[in-house]
Amino acid sequence: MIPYFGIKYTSFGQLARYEKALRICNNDILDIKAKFLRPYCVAYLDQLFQKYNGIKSTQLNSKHTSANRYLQQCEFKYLNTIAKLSKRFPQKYIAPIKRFSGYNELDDQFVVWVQNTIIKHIPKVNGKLEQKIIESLWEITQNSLSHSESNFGVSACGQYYPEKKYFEIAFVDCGCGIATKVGKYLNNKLDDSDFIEWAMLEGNSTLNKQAAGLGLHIFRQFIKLNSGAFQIVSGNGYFGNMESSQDEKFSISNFLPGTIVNIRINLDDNTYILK
Amino acid sequence: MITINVVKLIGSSSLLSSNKGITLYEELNNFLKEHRQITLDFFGSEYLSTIFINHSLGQLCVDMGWDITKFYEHFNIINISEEHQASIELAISNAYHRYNLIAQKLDPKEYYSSTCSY
Repeated sequence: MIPYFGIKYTSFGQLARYEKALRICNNDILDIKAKFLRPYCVAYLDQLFQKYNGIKSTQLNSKHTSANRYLQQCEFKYLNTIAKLSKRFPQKYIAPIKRFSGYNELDDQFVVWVQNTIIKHIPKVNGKLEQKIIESLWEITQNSLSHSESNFGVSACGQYYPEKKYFEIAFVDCGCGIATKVGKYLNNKLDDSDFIEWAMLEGNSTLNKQAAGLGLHIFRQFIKLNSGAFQIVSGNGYFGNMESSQDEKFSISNFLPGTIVNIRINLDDNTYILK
Repeated sequence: MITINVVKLIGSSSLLSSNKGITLYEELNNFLKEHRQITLDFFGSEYLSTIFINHSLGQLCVDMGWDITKFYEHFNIINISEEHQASIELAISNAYHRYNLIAQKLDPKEYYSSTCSY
């Protein structure tokens, strides 16, 4: 297990190991063995613990205080300790875990949540950026809720990085996984990363009888315009980009059930103005 | 020609959810029984999603077999940003493409499976 989780595909592969660890865990406490977590890790763990705590009552702990503090700040509900809040990451910069449980959740409430979580960090109010963030994130959550077939909805968790002037937020479900679903639909022996890429192309959808297949495409367009970044991980596939504008595909080392959509939204004064 | 303010009809400036899209779809179906041409006024709208469009105008185009030209024969859209209008046109083109697959008795699943290669 790695101590630091970044946004490289290798980190997502390592995170996927916790699914098996929790599934076979016979103890009351699972040791996370991590010093530094990112919001997507917390959202993923929230989904896993919801899924398996119907069967067992395992809690999470780390021997590293920093990880426990971070989990507490993110309001992770399965933490086996009470930790002090981190000074490194002020609470006002953390978007604690938010669970979305129903397709068609009230969109007006979603708008308020995004405004209170992300928009408030934009240095100067820019209506167009606000609009695009809200619309893109709505597409992502609804896509997960309508396709994941999960009983546990979607968990979101985020953090604002003021020095780097970006906001990172993840939407995670532990359902069937976008890669597995597209793979079954296409009945094609491609890599999981190819299936994720397919789902992001304009018009592609596994829904047969209705107008669909634009949500992820719109989201991807926004990230490009915003000079942001995204990573989508599902099954053994990774599709996304980091600092470069080039989208990349990788196979990850461990199978990740469900889907992680991790997004970096650029809030920099110099780049955020969308034309 | 009748003018419908979408925000007033839906009761919200956030046009995001499929439920709201279905509400608009049902209302438009009723209006089309009596009016050949409808002006859709988006004054006051803030957010618009493809989910909302797919379940309203997209579904209407799938039902009627309308492409974008046919759509504009029946609908006039006003007070909307260029980007949102582009989203509507994209969604309608996409809906028409899917309608065409079904009309040609092509199963979308088989179509995509046969055209998917990397």
